[in-house]
Amino acid sequence: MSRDARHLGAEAIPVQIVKVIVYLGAGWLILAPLATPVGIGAAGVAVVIASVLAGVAVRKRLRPRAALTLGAGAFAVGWLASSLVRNSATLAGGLGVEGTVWTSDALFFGVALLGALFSVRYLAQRSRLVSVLEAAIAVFSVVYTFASHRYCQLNQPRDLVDWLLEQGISDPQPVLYGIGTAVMLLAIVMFMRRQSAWKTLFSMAVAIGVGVGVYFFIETDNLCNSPKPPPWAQKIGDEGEEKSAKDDQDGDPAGGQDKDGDGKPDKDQNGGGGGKGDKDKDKDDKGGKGQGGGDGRDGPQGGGGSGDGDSPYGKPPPNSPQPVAVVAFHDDYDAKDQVLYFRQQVQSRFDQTHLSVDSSGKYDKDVITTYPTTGPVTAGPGENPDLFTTLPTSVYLLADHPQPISLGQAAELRPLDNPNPDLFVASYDVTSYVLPERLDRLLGRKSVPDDWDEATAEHYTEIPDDPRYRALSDEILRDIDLRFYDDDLMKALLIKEWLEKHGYYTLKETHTDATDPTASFLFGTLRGYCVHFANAAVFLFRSQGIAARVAVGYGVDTSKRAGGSNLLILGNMAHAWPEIHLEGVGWITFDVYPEQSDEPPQQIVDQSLESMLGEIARKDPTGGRADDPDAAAFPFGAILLVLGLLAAALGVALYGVKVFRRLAPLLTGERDKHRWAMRAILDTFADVGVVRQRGETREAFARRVADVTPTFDALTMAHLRAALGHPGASAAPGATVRDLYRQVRAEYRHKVPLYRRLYGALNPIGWLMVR
Amino acid sequence: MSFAPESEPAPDASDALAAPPAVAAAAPTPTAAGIHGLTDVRALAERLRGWMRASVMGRDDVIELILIAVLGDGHVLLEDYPGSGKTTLANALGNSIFDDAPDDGIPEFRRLQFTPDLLPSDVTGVMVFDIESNTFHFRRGPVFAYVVLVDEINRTTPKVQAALLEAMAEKQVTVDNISHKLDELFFVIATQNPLDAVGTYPLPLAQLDRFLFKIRMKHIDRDSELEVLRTWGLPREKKALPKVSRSDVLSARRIIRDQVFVSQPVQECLVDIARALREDRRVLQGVSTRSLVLAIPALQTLAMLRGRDFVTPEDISRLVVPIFQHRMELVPGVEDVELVIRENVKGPLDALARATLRGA
Repeated sequence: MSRDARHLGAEAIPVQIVKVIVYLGAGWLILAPLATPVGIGAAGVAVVIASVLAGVAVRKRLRPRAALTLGAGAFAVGWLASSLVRNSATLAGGLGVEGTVWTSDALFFGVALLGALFSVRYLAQRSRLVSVLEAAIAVFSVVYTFASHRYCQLNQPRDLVDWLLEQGISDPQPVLYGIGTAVMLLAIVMFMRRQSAWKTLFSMAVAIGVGVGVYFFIETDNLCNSPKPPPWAQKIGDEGEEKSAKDDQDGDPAGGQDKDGDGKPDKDQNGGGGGKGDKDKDKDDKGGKGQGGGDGRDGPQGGGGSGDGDSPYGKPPPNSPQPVAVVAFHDDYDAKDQVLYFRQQVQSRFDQTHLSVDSSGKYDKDVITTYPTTGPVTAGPGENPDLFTTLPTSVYLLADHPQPISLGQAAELRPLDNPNPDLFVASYDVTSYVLPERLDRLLGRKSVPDDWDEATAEHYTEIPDDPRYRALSDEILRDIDLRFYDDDLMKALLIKEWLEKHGYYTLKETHTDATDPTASFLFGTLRGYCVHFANAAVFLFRSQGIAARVAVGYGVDTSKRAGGSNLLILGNMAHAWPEIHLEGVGWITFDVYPEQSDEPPQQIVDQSLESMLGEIARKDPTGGRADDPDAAAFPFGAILLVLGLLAAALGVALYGVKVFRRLAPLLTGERDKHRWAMRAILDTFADVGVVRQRGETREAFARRVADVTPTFDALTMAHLRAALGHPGASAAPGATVRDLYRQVRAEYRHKVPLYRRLYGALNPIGWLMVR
Repeated sequence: MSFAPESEPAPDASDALAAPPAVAAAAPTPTAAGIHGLTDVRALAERLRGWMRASVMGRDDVIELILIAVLGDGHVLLEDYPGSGKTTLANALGNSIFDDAPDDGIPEFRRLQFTPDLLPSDVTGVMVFDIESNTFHFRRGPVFAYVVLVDEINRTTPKVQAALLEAMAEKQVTVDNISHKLDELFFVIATQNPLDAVGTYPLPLAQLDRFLFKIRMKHIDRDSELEVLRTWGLPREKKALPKVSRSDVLSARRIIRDQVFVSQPVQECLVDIARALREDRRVLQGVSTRSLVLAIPALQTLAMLRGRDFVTPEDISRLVVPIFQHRMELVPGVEDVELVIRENVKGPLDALARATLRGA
């Protein structure tokens, strides 16, 4: 019999049921975003059937080889049948679109998954190692689901976060941590197989290892966690920072941009968008992992604060899709070239080799550099407001920025109540001027107006003391149409066209080593990113006497947006672009779109995140989920409540029975005392995972634990004598039983280490395992 | 509770040896004082065990089963290789019992070597013509003994086997339409060679069913084998052990039957095991009701040997394989009868274990 005891047999039915529930939960977590309802249903049925079959197979002593062959066979059949249905034109035609998807899903999840699960469940009951694998699957599903919450993807995992928002909890992070920890502990407790502390420890280590591994393997950094200083404190320090920016305003251009390579509207908007547009959310997340690293301060929001003065271009722009701001449009607006420009600051002052933010206060008066704290902040007078249309927007910053960002030419910033201080660091209303005209309608204007004084003209046209700029621009303009030979805008357009044709957009070349990075870019490889293009364009414009400057902020490609009045700006949309001045018009955006690029197109913004943040910004604390019938369809709260109540009731009942059974030997009368004493001892052993094996007799079990409690044998015998002996002589004196019982307990306490006894005391289901 | 459990007595039964004043084998019975309780029965059993252990090394499990069979009124079939001590064992058992009723002319021990040319009368006895009295009278065959060792039981013809098996079942032989009672303590140890089956007449299940146990002996372990070599040819001390008398054995059987309690749940468990075995798909022919009847005294004896006056699940677990394994026919292709039995025992044993906790 002791040989049987060593054999790892079929699991007890309660354990199997719990594991089925765990598998169902894990399956739901993993499959919910991927599969159709039919697939999920089929997977659920497969979990139940596979578990039952595996239990039967173990009980019937199916050989491992046969079991694995069956499992693999079912998997292969299901998989092949599923792909056959999907790929066969005849079948697909007969079934229709929906029928095909459903049939294929049902086959894959119902049959293939059944085979795989059957193998795993079977092996798990035969080998401890695979049993640990089960724990790993459970942990994986939870971590995998929660991992999507990173990068400030506040709306993930959807069902849970939606529900939390409805409850008014706008920051789900602590809840997720709590659930994750609970699940991890549950997995450890559930799947740790008894008998050896080392094996328990091993299971625990594997479970935690899988969790940590999945978390770090999928993606590495969580920018949403970066500490946020109070929004207005940042602004107060602004003036000082601007001074230091004289030396090193590099941070901003560095924060330049990223993916404007595909911002070229007429080239990429259809060709590039279609193919990549289908990438699912997870892929997008993964795409976010890159050389950008974790320093969110490189972006425009870092302002002039970053301090590596040697390098005017700083590090490559950040690559993380962390949301930095939400913009609510209060009016319809179509960007004429598909890109919306949100400017944060401009760099116009020539500073030895590069452009920097002007801090004298004399220039760039049209740019608002301070937040509206108490009252509206207005920009300097525009030159010809009639040419522009006004567009009201509201900006809600999710990350700190030293200066406010605003669409187009901001005319006025007004303070706005922060709808959700937990989420947004600042919010304000903006009235922007946007130019509805096409650029070529503005031809025939000078760039530097006559009424500018010498210093101003000089300020906006100063370039490095390098003849090559002028030579290159002359070269570019050699074939200019004679009708426009002195038209500044036409010159600028030609230069822009030349740069677009010959430049190559890449993040791989930073030119940071060069003393004049712009020259290094322009007269070298012509490979660089937005900062290089912007600076080069500005210098070329200026060499022709065109007033120009660099604007820094975000460029949002709208060509792939699905629409909606909310716009989400991500950190990796940071951008730098040239602006030129036209007499009678003012400063206009004049961006360069290189035709060649090795960067992937800008990522699709997660629609639901965008609308959720937008709705929160519009003072709907539920993020618009409350009145969204689709999102509310899953009664997460009610189910959770019911489950919680059930769990609590179950816990109370389990512990109640446990305590009762423990106390019963002291309370029952003489006649039944032996039974209750026996039960109490068996409970105690079952609590720490030592139970009678199937077919093992009570005496054999008592002998097995004789190392721990030598007296248990005598108690067992007294019990058996009372139960099976002569009815007349069976009156085993209760006192004897009581003494034996006490002695066994004392031996148990003496022999079993404290931690194991504590674990046993906490185990609510030990008594269920008593056989 | 009249019967105190005690620890296993020393194998050589030295306590028992020291106690009685008279030691000689022929002396009038030292134990004739009688067997009155389970304690006495156990002492007797230990003496028998001591006799057998003194002769055969490393066979304690087999010795215990034989002991159970003797006291449980069954017969055993030993299946073993030649030269493994079967005959020695049987001899030792025969020698340990002395005849306290010399008048009946029945010897303690007889040995029968079964060969193909044996006739039934060679086993049972034959009517011979007495010239002096001019009448036939019955001349007893070798089955008229307390302990009969039947060697190579499968080497003789079914006719002879049947004659022996009638004797085993009915404890009588019939010659010329006259039935002759065998001794009350008629105990058969039959042997057969598991291999070397050419020219044999395998016993049918119906006949195997008459044996209480079929015992498959395994080779003894290394130390025991060395001990055998060391002590081979040395004078045995067994003569020094007190023998047990025939009547003591008979009263021991009675006492066991009367005083060891077999509770209802245990009987149910036994029946459930038999039913489970009959329903198992791998079993062509299940165990008989007779086997259950035979099992009860065996279980009682084991309980007694373990110092109990009631049968526990442990006894069932211990004896279920030797009792049932030779009474079943398995589906062709299924070999491991022990595995089949063990699997079918688990359910009823679990039910019994639960029943004891639950109470009536």
